[in-house]
Amino acid sequence: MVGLIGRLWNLQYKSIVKEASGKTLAVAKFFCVLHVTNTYLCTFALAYGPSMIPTFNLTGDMFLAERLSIKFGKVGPGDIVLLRSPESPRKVMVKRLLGLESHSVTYVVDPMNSDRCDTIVVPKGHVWVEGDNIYNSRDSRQFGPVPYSLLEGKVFCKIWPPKEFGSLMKSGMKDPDL
Amino acid sequence: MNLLPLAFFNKKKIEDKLGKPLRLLTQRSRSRQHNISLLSVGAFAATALFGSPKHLVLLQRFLTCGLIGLTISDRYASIVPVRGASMSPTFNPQARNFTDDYVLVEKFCLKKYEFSHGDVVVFCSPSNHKEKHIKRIIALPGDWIGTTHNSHDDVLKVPKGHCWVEGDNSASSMDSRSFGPIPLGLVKGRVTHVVWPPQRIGGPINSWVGRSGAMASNNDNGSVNGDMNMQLSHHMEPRIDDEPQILHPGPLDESLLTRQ
Repeated sequence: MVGLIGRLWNLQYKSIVKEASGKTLAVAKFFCVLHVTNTYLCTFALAYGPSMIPTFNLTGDMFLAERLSIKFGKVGPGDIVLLRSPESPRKVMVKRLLGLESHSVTYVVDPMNSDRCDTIVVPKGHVWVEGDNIYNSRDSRQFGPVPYSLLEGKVFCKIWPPKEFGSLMKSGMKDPDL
Repeated sequence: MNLLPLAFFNKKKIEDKLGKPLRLLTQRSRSRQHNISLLSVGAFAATALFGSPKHLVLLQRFLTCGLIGLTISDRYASIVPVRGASMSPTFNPQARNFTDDYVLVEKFCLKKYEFSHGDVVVFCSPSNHKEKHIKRIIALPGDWIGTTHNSHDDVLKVPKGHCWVEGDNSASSMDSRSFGPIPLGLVKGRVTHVVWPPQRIGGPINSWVGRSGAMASNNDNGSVNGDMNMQLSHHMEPRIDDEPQILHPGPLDESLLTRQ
């Protein structure tokens, strides 16, 4: 009698364990799919700050960024990119790519105080990034060209606020007369 | 609802009574039939491609394992081979030229990006984004580092958010002495253990070999205390070679003393 109850209990226990492990595996699979999509395909981000006015607002815009272009090297000057900050590795910032390696980039060193321009050739394996709002942006003009591996994604679509929904223009916002 | 009495009525009468819902029901079942037929076609194609339902299940299992493995190696830990001799004798000591050392790289450090002096890290090369290198962190942001540049001694301060990395085998190592300090954002993991070959399976690799490079093998039974004592003595000895020295006295020694 006791043996029978013991066997019944084992049977029930096994089915519970099996069901629990099945559910755990399903949750783990879902999490893995989420992670792979986020890391290798597409992610969304919220950016705030004045350095990309007028493309992005001061208070915060949400946008989608895709990761495949970076992995295959299909970014070019004029693209808006997500990159890890070379000054604080925990921060990710949004800037516009202006030059790839071996490009010659001309930039205004300190637009608030003077009109002095400087030209630099971007070294191998690096890129030059600048914010659209050059008067209030901390970018390659301060910390130099950044290694290509710091790039994390290419922004292709703004999704918030809803009235500004849509794909972003590729062209840079720089004045051509400058 | 008992449908049997309805069967005695005319179809038209049934349609008049029930009207739209019945028509919708029959339409939905028709589309469900479409779905089922599509599924069966898909399954047939899949089995034709892969041979049998057993193979399909195998493929599904393979995909699941691949996804889980990829997630774990991205977020938690992975095993990588060490190529080259720039980290001798810590990895790939010269005696073994046929097999590479395999090491365990952990990614938990990427949550906070807090590293200590002497950590061996994996980072993307600043000159070629497709390559990864393994070197040791010698100096952290704000430290002063002494280096020889164009045959004259130079002192430079590691900028904010950057670190100075060097290989243990200074003679043949492409490191910060050539490409300068690297941003911490390039670091992709920290090496903790050697996992292959079996006779070198080692304890934590965070003891510092020291610039003179004359450190005994730092695996298995060398206790952390013992290693640190050796390091301190190396650091205090008068230097007889012309290897460059590190010029930050206080903070470095304290970090060696307190790290357990």
